[in-house]
Parts: sequence; C-alpha cells; structure tokens
Amino acid sequence: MKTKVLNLFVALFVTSALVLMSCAPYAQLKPKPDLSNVEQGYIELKNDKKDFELKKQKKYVVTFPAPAEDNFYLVLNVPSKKKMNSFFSNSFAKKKTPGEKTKDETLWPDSVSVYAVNTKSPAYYWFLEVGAEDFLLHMKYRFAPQWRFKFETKAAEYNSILARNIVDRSAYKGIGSTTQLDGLNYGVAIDTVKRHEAALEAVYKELLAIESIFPARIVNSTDPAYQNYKKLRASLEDEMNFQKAYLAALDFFSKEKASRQNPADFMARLDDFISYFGQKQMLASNVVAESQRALKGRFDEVMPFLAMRMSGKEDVTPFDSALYFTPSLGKLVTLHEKADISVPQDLSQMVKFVSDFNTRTKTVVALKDSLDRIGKTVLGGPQMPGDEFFKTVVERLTAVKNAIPARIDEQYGKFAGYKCSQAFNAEIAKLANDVAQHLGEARQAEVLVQQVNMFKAQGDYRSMVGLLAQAKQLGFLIDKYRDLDRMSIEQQMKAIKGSLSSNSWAQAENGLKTLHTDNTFLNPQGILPYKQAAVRELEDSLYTGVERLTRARVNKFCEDKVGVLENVDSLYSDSVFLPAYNITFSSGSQNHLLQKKDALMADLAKLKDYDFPAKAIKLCYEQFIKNPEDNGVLKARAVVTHGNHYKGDDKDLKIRVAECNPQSAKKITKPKEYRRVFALPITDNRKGGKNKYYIRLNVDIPTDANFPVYDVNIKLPKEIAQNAATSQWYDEILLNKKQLKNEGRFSIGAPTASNEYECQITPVQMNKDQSNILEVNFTYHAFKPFPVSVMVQKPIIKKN
Amino acid sequence: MKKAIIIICAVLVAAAGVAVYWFVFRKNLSDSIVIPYIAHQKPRIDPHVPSPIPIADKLDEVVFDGLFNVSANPSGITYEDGLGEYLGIDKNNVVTVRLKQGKKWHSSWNVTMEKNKATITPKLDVVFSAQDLQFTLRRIQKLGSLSPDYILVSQAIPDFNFSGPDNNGEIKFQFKGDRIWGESDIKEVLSFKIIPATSEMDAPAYNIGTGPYMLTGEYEDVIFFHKMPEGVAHITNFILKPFIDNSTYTTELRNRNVNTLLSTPFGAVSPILGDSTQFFHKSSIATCFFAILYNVEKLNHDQRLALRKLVNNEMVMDRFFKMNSQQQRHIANYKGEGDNYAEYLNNSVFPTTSYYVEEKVVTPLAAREGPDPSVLPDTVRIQTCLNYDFREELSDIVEILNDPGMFHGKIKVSAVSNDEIRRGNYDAVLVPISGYRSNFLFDLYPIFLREPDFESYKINLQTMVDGKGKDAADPKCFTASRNFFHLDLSGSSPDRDDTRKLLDDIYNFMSTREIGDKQAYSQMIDQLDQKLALGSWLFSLPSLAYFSTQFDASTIDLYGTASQLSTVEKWEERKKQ
Repeated sequence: MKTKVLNLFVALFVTSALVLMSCAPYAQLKPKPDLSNVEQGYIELKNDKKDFELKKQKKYVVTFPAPAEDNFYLVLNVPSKKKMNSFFSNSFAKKKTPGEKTKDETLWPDSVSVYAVNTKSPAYYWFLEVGAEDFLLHMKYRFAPQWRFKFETKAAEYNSILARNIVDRSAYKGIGSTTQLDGLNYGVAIDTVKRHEAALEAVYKELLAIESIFPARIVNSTDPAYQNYKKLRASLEDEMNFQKAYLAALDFFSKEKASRQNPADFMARLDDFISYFGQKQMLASNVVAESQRALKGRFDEVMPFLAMRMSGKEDVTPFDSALYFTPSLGKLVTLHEKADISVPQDLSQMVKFVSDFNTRTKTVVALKDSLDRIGKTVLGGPQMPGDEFFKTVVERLTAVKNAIPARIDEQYGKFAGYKCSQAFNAEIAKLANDVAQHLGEARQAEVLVQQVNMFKAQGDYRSMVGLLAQAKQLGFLIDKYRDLDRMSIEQQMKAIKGSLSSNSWAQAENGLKTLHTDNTFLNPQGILPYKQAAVRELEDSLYTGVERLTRARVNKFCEDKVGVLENVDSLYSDSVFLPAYNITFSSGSQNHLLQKKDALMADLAKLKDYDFPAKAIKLCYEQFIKNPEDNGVLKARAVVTHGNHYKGDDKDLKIRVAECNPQSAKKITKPKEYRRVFALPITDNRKGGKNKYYIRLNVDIPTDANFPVYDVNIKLPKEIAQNAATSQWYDEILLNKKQLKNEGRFSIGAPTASNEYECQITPVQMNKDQSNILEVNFTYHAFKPFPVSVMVQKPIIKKN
Repeated sequence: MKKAIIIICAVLVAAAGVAVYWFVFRKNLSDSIVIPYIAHQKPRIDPHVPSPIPIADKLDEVVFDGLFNVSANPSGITYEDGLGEYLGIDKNNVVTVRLKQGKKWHSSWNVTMEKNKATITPKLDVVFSAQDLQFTLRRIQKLGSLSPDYILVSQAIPDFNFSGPDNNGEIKFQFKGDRIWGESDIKEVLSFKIIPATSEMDAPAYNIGTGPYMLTGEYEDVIFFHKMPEGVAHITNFILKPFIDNSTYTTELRNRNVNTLLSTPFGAVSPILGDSTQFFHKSSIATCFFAILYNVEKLNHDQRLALRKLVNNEMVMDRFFKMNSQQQRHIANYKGEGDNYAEYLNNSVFPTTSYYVEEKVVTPLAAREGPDPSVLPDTVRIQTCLNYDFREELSDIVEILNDPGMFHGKIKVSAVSNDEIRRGNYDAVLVPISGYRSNFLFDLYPIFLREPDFESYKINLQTMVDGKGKDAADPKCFTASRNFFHLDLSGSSPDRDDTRKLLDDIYNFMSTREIGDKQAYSQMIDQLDQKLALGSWLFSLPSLAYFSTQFDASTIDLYGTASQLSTVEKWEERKKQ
C-alpha cells in the first residue's frame, strides 16, 4: 500500500515539474556581479567570473537595470552574436512574454547591439535564443550617453567632410575689382557652391541633432568630446556663411545680367533684388558696392519704360497690375531704399499718381455703381412710393455727390497731363453733373410725391394724374405711377359697376359718359385702348345689365304670372315688357345704339309675343290637361288669351290654344280614331249657375269622295249625358251654321249608359276641300271643362 | 112665379141633357190611341217592304220587335232591347247578342172580339227563337233591294247569317271590318223587325209580332190593337178608325173621334185645332210629295220637255197653300220658323228635303227649258184618282192645274177611277208618292217601278244575272203597262238607251249599300230625268201630326225619318193636375 502511494506522489511531482518547465521558456541569466548602469566604459558580463554556458535550442533572458539619466545607450558587445537570435525589450510580462522589441541602432550588427534606454522603464530585457550548438556567452556591456556615443563614433567623418567642401574665396573677394563677372559661368559656379553647401549642411544638421541631446551639465564642461564638438561646429559654420554670401552674390549678378534691356524682367525680379540687398550685411563691401552700381544701370532703364507705358493709357479704369506693374512700383522704391540708393522724385510722383488714380477711378466706379443702385432703387422702388422714399434717395444722392473724388491736378506733375488723367477728370465732371441732375429731380419728386400722396389718401386718382401730368419730365416718377391711368379708369369703372350692380342705370350711364370723354391721363395714348375697352365693357355691361334686369324682371314676371288665370290680357300691357332703363349713351355710332336698343326691344317683343305666351300656354295647357277639374276653364281661357298674344308659328302651341278655345274648331283629320276635345263654357257663371258650352269640330278628312259624308260620334261625360233620356242634352247642333235636327233626315243618337254615352250624328255631309264646322252647343250647371271624345267615320245607311 | 117655374124646369132639362150626353154619348177615348185611316185602304203590314199606305208602315213599330227597337228620347234616337240583348263586339267585329228568352209571339193568346170589346186569354206560349230570326233574315235577303232592311243588314252582315245560339241563347254575327261599329250602329243594323218562322215568305200581310200591341180584330172597320198582356206599353188600346177620306180628319180630332192625327190635310196647321189646351202638334220631315208623271208613250221627248217647262210647280204650290191670302195654309217647321214653303218645292225626282238635294249631291234643274208649248197637244190630259189617300190634296191640285189662268187651258186634269189609271190612257198622271225617306234610303221603286194602280201597291222589280255574274235589273221592269211612265224596253225608241240606263241606275241606286255609289247613281238618275223629262216634281207635303192633350206631349218623341209610332209604347196620358 505504501509503495503505491509513493509511486503516485513521484508521478505527480514529475508531471508538475514538466508543466512548470514548459511555462517558463526563457531562462533567467543572473550575472555575478550584478549589472551596473553607471557610465564607466565596457563591463564584462560574468557568472561568478565565468561566462555563462548557453545550451543549444534554449532561450535565455538577461535583465538590465535602467540608466540613471535619459538619452543613454546600452551597448552590448557580443562576439558570438551570430550563434543566436537576440532582441531587446523594455518589458517582460509575468516573465513569460517579451514586450515590444527595441530597435537595434548598431553600426556593427554582427557583434554589437546598441539599444536606446531611458529612465521610464525600471528594467530592460535582453532575450537570447540559442541556435544549434551550445556555446559560452562572452560579452561586455556599457551604459553611455547617446551624444557621446554618436559623436565619438562619427567625429572623424565630420572633419573629413568639412575638409572636402571648403570653397575658394578669392573670386568672391575680387568682385568689383579683379573678378570679371561678365565672363563668369554663373550656372556652374552656383551649382558647385550649392553642392558644397549641401554637404556641409548635412553634417551641420547631425551636429545639431547631437547637440540637442547634450545633458545640461555638459555646457561649460571640459569634456574632451564636447570640446571637439564645439571646434568642429565653429569651422563648419564659418564655411557655410561664406558659401551663402557667395551664392547670393552669384544669384544677384546672374539675375541683374539677365534683366538688362528687359525692364519687365527686371520688374519681375524686384523681390529677389530686395531680398538680396536685405542681407547685404553678410556680403563683403566690395560685393555691395558692385551690386549698387549694377542696380542703378537697371533703374535708368526701367523708369522711362514705365512712364512711356502709362502715358499711353486713355481710359479711366485703374492701372492694370500686370501691364503697368503697379504692385511693383512700391517695391521699386523699396529696392532703392534697401540698396541704399536715393529714391528719385519721378518715381515718387509715379507711385502716388498710380495709387491715387487707381483709388479715384475705383471711387468713381463705386459712385457710379451707387448711382446705378440708386437709379435701380428708384426704378425698382415701390409703385406710388411713400413720402420717405425720395427723401432717402436725396440723401443717398447727396452722399454720392460728396464722395466724388478730386481731380488729378498739378501735384502729380507730368502725370496730370496724361490722357488717362484728363479722361478721369472729364469723367468725374460728368459724374458730378449727373449726380446734380438726379439730385435735383429727386428733390422735385420728393416734394411731388408728398402732394400726390395726399390725393392718394383721398382716393382721388384723377387729381393725382393731374398733378403728375404737370411733371412729365420726371419720367422715373411718372413710371412709378404707370398704373395710375389704369387705376383712375378702374376707379371710375368700379363706381360705374357699383351703379350697375345697384341697378342705378342713370348714374351708371353718367359715369360711363364721363369715362368716355375723360382725357386726363399720364399716358393718354397708351391708356386709350384700355379706356376704350373699359368703356365698351361697361357699355356692354350697361346694356347687358339693363337687358338682364329687364329679362330677369320679365322672367320673374313670367314665372310669377305664367300661372295667372284671370285678367291675362292685362299682363301683356305691363311695363315689364319695356326696358328697365332707356339708355341714351353709346360709345359707337347712333345706329349702333339704335341697333342695340332695337335688339333689346325686339327681344322684349319676342319675350312678350313669343316666349312668355309660349311658356304660359305650355304651362297652363299642361296643368289644364293634367287636371281639368282644377280651374280648368280658367286655365283653358288663359291658354286662349295667351294664344291671342302669341305671334309665333309653333304649330303645337297653336294646336293647344285651339284645343282650349271653345270657338276654335278642333280638326278631325282621320277617320275611325277617337280624338279628345274639351267642351268649354263660353259663359261665366261660376257659382252654380248654368253655362253655355261649345264643342266645335272641323271635319277635314282627306278623301276622294265628291260628297264625303260621315258619322260623327261624340262620347260624352256621364255627367252631361246621364239625363239625356229626360231632356235634350244639347241646345243645338250646327253643321256649317245649319242646324241639324233629329226630326229631319238626320239621325242624332241619344247618349245612354248602354252606349257609353255616345251621341251619334249622322249622316253629316261634308263639303269637299272646305272646312266643315260641326258645332255642338249645350247648357249645363257647371263651370268646368268636359272632355269628350270625337270620332268620325263613314256612315252606315240607316233606315231610321 | 110661373115664369120662375118655367126657368127652373128648363135648367133641369138642360142639366139632364148634359148628363145624358156625358154618360151616354160622350166619346170616351181614354186609355186609347185612336188614329184615323182611309176606310178602303186598310193597312196591310209588311215590316220589310214599304207600303204606299203611310199608316201601314208606321204600324210596323206597333206590332213588331227587332232584336233592338229604335226609340227616342228628348236627346235623340235610342235603341232599346227588343228580342235581343246586346252583349258586345270583339276586336274581330263579332257581335254577340243574347236572344231574349220567353218572348211571346202575339199568337200566344186567344183573342175573342165581342163588338169592339176584345177578350184576351193566354193559350200555349209561342216564344221567339233563333229560327224566327233566321227566317226573317232569309226573307229580307230574298227581298233584296225591295226592302230597306236588305240594305241595312247587308252593309254589316253580308251573309245574312249568324252562329248559335249557344246554351246561353247567345248568337254571334260577323260584322264587316271596314269601320268601327258603335253600339248604336250595331243596334240599328239589327233593328229590322222579326216575324215568326211560321210565317209565309210572301204573305200579303203580317200581323203576328212580339211588339207592344197585338192585333185583336176589327169591328165595323175599326181595327183594334191591344197592348201585349205582358208588354210595356202604357196605353191599353191602339185603334185605327176608318174614314172615307182625309178631309174630315181635323174635324174628327176636334170632335174627339180620334185623338191622334199622324198627318193633316195639306200638311198645314189646322185653324180648328188651334186650341193648345186641347191639341198639340209635332212637325217632322216630309214623307210625301206630289208629282206629274209623264206617259212616254203619249208624249214624245219634246212634248215632255215642253210640258215640264209649262208646269210651274211653284205657282201650283203657292196656290196649294193659298199663299198671301187670308186662307193661307200655314205650315210648321220642325227646324224652327214655319211657312218655309220653299223647302218643299221639288225640281228633281229627288225631293228637296232629301239628302241628295239638300247636300247638293244632285243639282236639280232650276230653269226649265224646252220647246215652245206649241209642240204639246192641244190639251195635255192628266189623270189622277181621288179615291185613296191624299184625296184632299189631290183635289186641290187638280183644281189648280185645271185653272185656265194657270196654264192657259193647256192642261186638263181628270179625276178618274183606278181602272182608268191602269189603262194608262193619259198623257200624264198626278200621283202622291208617300212614305219616302229623305235619308240615303230614298226609294225610287215606288216612282219608277210601281205598277199604275192607286189601290194596290206592286213594284215590278225583276232581276237577272248580267254577263258579269252580277244581279241586274231585268229590262222587263220597264214594261209600259207596269209603270206610270209607260216606260218600256221591249221595243225600240229614241230614248231606249237612256231608258235602259235609267233602269240600271235605279236598280243600282236601290241595291247598293255604298253611299258613294248612291251619290253617283243619284246624280246620273237626276241627269237622265232632266234629259228624258219624265215628270214634273211638284212639291212635298209637310208632315204635321196632331195630338190631343189627352196625351202627355213629353212622352211622344218624333224623330227623323223613323216611324211616328216608334215610341208608341212610351206614350202616356197626361196626368190630371
């Protein structure tokens, strides 16, 4: 039992050891003595005076302390560097995971590693991964300030470079005396100097970089490295300054040479020249003197050039900067000053002239713009402006007037006589005149508008027109009132229309006459078509209104009276059939008026003689037929009376009238067809009295017979015929005024219930091709229409 | 005192006389319609053929019924159910009539006469049946144009037949479809009088009817009719009283021997009947005219023309009515104002009152033109017979014509016996033409085809089938001895063609049922008459009836050309106030 427990314990131990080994791949090398961060040159890294023995395929780590100051290098001198892979990091998380690798800045990668370290990390780690063979780690390490390490490693190289790039100074020193500049190849010379300068510049930059990491304590120190550094730097700077001055001189003279006989090119290089003279302190005096001399030669060329170009300008626009080099005129003065050459008066006047000219012409343009804007403001301003509108305009014009620039006068010397100066002076004179004129007109308008607005407030457009008509020279103002003519007309139209709408025909007609003769307008010719159209429209409206009212009255009359059943005749003498107003005005010819009036009268006559009676006939007849029992007699009589006044030729209407007229014979034109007619009273006993009734028939049946003869069968209402057995139902029966009697050869059948109250009169001989009027008259105690049906046909031969 | 006693006795004797007169001799005409007739012209009733005796035609309405009877009321003609009941007409013009059941013929009663008293007792009912109607229609069809009923029926029922009766006693007539048949027209067509099927087809008279009055017998030539026991007549007796002639008719009426006078002498208003409390009269259209018919065998064409020119009928009429004299015979006018003599003056064979003249279908010859009267024989011998009806009128006309002042003695009119007339020994004959109708059915047969006999009435109508298969008048119709004119188509004469055409036209006029044809034929007949100058058409006699105020005037309606007795069953006696 004990044996089994022991075995199990050993197994667990071994397993744990293996696990722990696998979790820590970098073996920590712990040198003895401990590693030091003090700057003291190279120190061997030993393990108790021995080198560490590194196994193949193993990983190791060495922990270095942080430096005492920043900007230090840890320099590792490892001759066997190639036998392993190594890297450096400032962290080793949980002693398992290396941090970001630090760049190796070494110049000798096979044997030395240089890592920048500082105080920010507490420790630094050097990781080793051994290759395929075991070896002994023989190495040295060193903590050193970075400036020192760098300068020490490159000082020789720097001195060498300086020596190779020193330029000969004799040519420079001979300028103005021995050196023949005109024969110099500026391009080659400049390139050479620049190449040297660039090499020196590179070294100088590296020195400055080293200097930037000098510890504060190094200044004023006697550190040899530091002293070497200072010496090298001074030499370098001296050579560099010379080369700069020499390059500037070469550049100046090359440009000066290039701009000879070419003022424009000269003017274009002014900045370079100014810059050149701006650093004249670094130049040698001979060089400065020679430079001034060359520059004067150029000035002598450029001034006449500029004066001649300016004198050719004729317009009053500002000097074009490109053409007249205006931006450079000031530089030209500056160049004089920088070059310590006195500025000539001519140049001063030119600069001032150009400057003032430009300023003033711009002002003129601005004033013109203002004037235009004011003009536009006036033009674009409100129609019929308020009192303040032209007051503001006056103020703005006054401001313009006051801002007109001064003339180009004698103070500008010869420049005052230039064409552009004269043109400018003329321009401002004209501007002044224009402004003065506008200002005067604006002031007039200001006053007039105030007066006009007073009338406007009263709605007196015609008076406004009257005032404005006296100031027609103020076109801009009149234009503000271009709608006034129309408004004046519209105002009159409105009044006339008001009269028309209130049916005040006389008032409307007077207004129309006034409008027609009105000539008080701002633009009489222009508004004439509108006025004429207005007059025509209103005239039409007047006629139409009168006509409409008349028609409305007639229509209402007709609507109201169409159903009138009594005194129908009097309806036709009603004044409603006269025009509502007798119009005397006409804008056209008198014939035109008469034609219009005649047309209206004709229409009224048509209404009276055609439409009204026609409508009344239709209505009354319709009502009559619909319900003859309801005032049927009066309706029928109304139809007849309307028919008497009807002058149309509508056959249907005439037939209806005839149907209602007891005196009118109803045509029987077809045999064997029953036709309804109405027996109507011709007397007027309305309340229970007897009335005499007529039935009149006109038998007019087309026939070939020479002696047409017919039965006339009249189906009577029971009411009439029911007592026919005891008393003769009719008073008399007449054929063409001849009485037919039952006692004669005629047979008059009695209406009885068995024959459905049909009365037969036979044989009724007709006159061929003539009217045959059969009249049946009877008396009855009623005052209503009786419908009867009438049928004729050829008779049978009767015995009795 | 003695004187007073004498007066009292005289009064008592007078009162007794009045009482005797009242109770013994007073003529009691109550509940009777008493009408005079010419004693030797007893009316023989034939309801289908016109009679020369006016009263005979009028009795048709008294004795017989049609399917429907023409009647009248104040408003005009009405039709009442007779032996039929009108049920209607369908869209195919089939007229349905229900025959009245149980309508008894007069032979359903025994009548015994004891003097003037009739006793009527029922015997076996003899009722009207469809056979009677069928028999009647066959008879009318057979009579043809002789019967006005032929025209009446044939224009609606060409086959004179009907179907039925069915179990409801309904029969159906197929009416022609050429017009709208109103109820009145249908009833008019079916208003022909019906005689029993047991009658002879050609009996001299027919007395058995179903009408309101039945013949009961005669006593001393008085002919008695009694209202049908189950009839609707208001007055019991209808009596025809005989008189020698019509001269006393007005007197008889005034003397209460009759109470109804259907015509008065001269058609004139009678002065002796002027008491309106006793009598009233009713005027109607004329039914009689007088004419002088020329004997074409005695007078040649020129002579006839001359004679017609000579006879001025207006002068005759003026004398007839004693115009412009105190004895003027005034006439009534049913149209209105009286004394409208001009309307009775005739210038054509068609009287002025007739439809044909009044409507100017024919235009009578206004001016008589012809040769000088010298072509005439010295004396134109005109004969007439005064033994029959219209004696009074004929006598007056004879006297007028014989007046030398009238026709220069050229005319000599003689009243002769009927036999003399038959012999035809005259240049012309004066005849009354009675019973004419002024409507379309104006009858030309009594004028042209009546045998020259005042006593009997024979129409010599003989028909044949012409070459086209149509009925036509046989030329024998114009046989000299068989018409007043002595027209004859057996031999040759200058007027033969015209005469033949006249015969044809007359037949066609009488037999057609087309009004247009009648108009055309009437024109042709009138023109032939004017050309041939066959007579002088003198004037018509106004028709005036008198009635005793025993009757209620409002119940007596006379109308048109219908019989004056058409409404006899409605006559009532005036109710005493």
